[in-house]
Amino acid sequence: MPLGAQQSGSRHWIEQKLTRMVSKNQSRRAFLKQLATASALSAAASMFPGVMFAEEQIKNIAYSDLNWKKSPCRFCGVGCGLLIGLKEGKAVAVKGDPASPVNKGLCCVKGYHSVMALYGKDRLTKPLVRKNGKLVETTMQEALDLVASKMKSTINEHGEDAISMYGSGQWTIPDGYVASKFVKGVIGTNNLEANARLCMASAVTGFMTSFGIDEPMGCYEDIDHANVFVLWGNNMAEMHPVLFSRLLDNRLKRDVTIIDLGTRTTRTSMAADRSFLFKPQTDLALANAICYEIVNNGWMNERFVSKHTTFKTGKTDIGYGIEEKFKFNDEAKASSLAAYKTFLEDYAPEKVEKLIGMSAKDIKYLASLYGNPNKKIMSLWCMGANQHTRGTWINNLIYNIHLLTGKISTPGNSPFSLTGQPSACGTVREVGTLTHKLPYGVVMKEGARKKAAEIWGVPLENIKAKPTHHTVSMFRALDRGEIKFMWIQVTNPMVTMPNLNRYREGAEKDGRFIVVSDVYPTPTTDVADVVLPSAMWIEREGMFGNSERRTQHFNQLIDAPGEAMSDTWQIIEVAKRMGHGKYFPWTEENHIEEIWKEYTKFHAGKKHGMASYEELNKRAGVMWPFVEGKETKWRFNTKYDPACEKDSFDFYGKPEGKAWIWERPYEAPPEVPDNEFPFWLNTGRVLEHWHTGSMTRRISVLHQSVPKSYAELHPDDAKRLNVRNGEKVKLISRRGEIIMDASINERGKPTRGQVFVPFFDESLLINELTLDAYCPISKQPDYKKCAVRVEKA
Amino acid sequence: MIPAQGKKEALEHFLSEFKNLDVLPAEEKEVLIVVTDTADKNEEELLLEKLKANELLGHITMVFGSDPEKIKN
Ligand code: SF4
Repeated sequence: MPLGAQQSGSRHWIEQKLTRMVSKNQSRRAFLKQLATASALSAAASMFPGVMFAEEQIKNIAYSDLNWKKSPCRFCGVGCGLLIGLKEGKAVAVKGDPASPVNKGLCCVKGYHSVMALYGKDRLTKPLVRKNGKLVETTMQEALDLVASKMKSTINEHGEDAISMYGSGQWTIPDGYVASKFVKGVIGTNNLEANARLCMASAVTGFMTSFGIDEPMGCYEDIDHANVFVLWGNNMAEMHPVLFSRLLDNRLKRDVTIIDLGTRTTRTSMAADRSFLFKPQTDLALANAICYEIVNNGWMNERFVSKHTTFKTGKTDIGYGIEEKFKFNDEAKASSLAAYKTFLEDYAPEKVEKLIGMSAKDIKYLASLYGNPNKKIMSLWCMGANQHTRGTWINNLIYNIHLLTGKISTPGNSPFSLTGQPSACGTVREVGTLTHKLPYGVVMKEGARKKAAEIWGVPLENIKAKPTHHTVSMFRALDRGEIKFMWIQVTNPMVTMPNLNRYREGAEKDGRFIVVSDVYPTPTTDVADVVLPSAMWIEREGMFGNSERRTQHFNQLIDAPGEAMSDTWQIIEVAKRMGHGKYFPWTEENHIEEIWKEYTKFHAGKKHGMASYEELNKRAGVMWPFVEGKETKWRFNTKYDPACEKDSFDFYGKPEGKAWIWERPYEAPPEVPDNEFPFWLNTGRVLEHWHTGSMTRRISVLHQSVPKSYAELHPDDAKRLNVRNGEKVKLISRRGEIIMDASINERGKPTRGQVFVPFFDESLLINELTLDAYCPISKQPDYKKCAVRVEKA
Repeated sequence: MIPAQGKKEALEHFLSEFKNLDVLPAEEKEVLIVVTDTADKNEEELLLEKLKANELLGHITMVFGSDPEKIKN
């Protein structure tokens, strides 16, 4: 039987066909060829779901008798369960874990090669200290002593708020927890941020403003129930490939329609049933136009709306955070259905079709999909909606559509905000490694501070009631010299900060002390005074939390190289050196288990209960709320969620258990193309590379596959500029310029007047051109829209 | 490998003439898996150049299996 037929019929993924054992006497060369073939088959399966290869061609493909251990994937927020093949103390192979409900045995090309990222030739194995302008090797003991003494002297001379820590959605949960306890509870500053501010802060503020509680109400199982999938600016085929395969697999079996909404044509557009292009930023108008249609065609679920929602307005004309010390606080005011209907009048499809760049007919078609009472519908989004100067608003507006139709919190009816990093949810959102957050609640609330002080055993006054700096503000404060010490772990801000030239110059100024914990040299280690080599992923024990509220534990499976140490233990070692050892009274052997026990006290109860350490150890991930041994798959729905206290639905994050429908208007972005800078610049990612490429560029197959960044142009623009595929173009913005290869009619196709550049390449720093404008509510920057000029170079 | 439009069979034929690779064509999609087996980097690069230069080829995405013996800390 051809493989594809089996795949479509019974979800037997390609990888399951590849697990047969090879004979012991098989040559190494043949084995390698089989591994390569297995990888290629998997890559083909994720790029062309349903692809079939003749049975006889794959029957000998296999893995040898390796020792297989479970771990979540190191890379994206899908959080696939992997089985890692161990041999001679090394991780040498990967396959999808059939026991994982996330990926059911499948994995993408990045996951497949993930273990190779452990073994790059230039892996950091010894600490480095800057002496006479050069980074030189030292011992871990000396490096940690130096970090502790510098932190102490900075606090003594300039106060707690002169030090800061900048972490990551790739931090494990214990890393983030210990960082939060150390920085907020022990040192006593709220200068703690994480790079997830750059990728999903708008998702958080979207949830908080609409529902009063963070993270999706549904789960990946929604994919197996929905009939319609609307992808809002979300190139899932490349960014969430395993989940996208699941969508396509469902389409092979059932009545399923996939709609791609975006500002450029991508691999997702090619695979979708319909693809609609809208003009940058006009997703706000589009969402309101859909709501207009729902309200005016009688598609509103009136019973649901009156029982479970309430209407709100917020401030308008709210700015873009470009000013140096920009401040903004939103204010929710009560509104009504009548006032909301009047607000929507401006968004009749005929009135906004020109602004959006989509015909009224197409807008009405989209609205009819949401309005059809017989269709279950999922909206999915990620960076397109979140990296947006009105990111909170577009999140609110997508929720509005689902709330108006009552298509929410039931299997297959699900607004689903996806994350990009493996533990953006687990570590940043749940542990709360952002300036305003604590593991439970926000620093502004006395109850939350009291709870943290009690669990941490620190004086209440240590935990400050005022948030300090969000990420952009923190790097501005470093540039101005208000922050003098920054410890950066598992992230690469000298590639990812928007308006990068300013922040790199700031980090390099005299009087700044930068510590970087990482696994490879990066442009961020280039600006460091101390570099600490980190133990990576399965070289230590930890947990990640993925997009569907699933926590996954992994054991240490291999030794870390040289003196590399986990980020958790680095923080504990520094805390001990500063005299704070009593707050971290654990051993190297038991600290992850003890941290988990302490951390989960914050979330005890029906709304956020977490699985025990033992439970996590046994299973391929557990979703929270985990109540009386059961995962909660659909929150806020009384049928599935034991925390509900009302009939049918209870949005218990908000007073009266009612979700908020917001009036959020279209507002233009801060920088739009003009005569001098006539193109939109849109930045993003590619399937093969993980974010800034510091790991995937060291995996030769992934690196060779996409060896350098490029500028995608529309063919008509390329013709007008007399640029052919592969020729050099120069991109110039008000902040920087770059020369790179043009890419025409290759992977993606931007609309006319738009150029798209992936950001994974540290030798082509596109963020030197981007603008550090952000959503005033979430403080998340917009990497998708600024103005550039394009010239033939 | 993704062949240029309508060129899958021709590309398969072209590839069949190389000794240092195996070809697995997909049954219903415009994609071929090509597993190369080269002695060294030089041969690998030369082969890749030849493949890339052929106009029957539309797009190439590369993946790889790894040798545990070559992994050194
Ligand atoms: S989809 Fe994401 S989590 Fe799954 S294997 Fe690929 S990179 Fe890893």
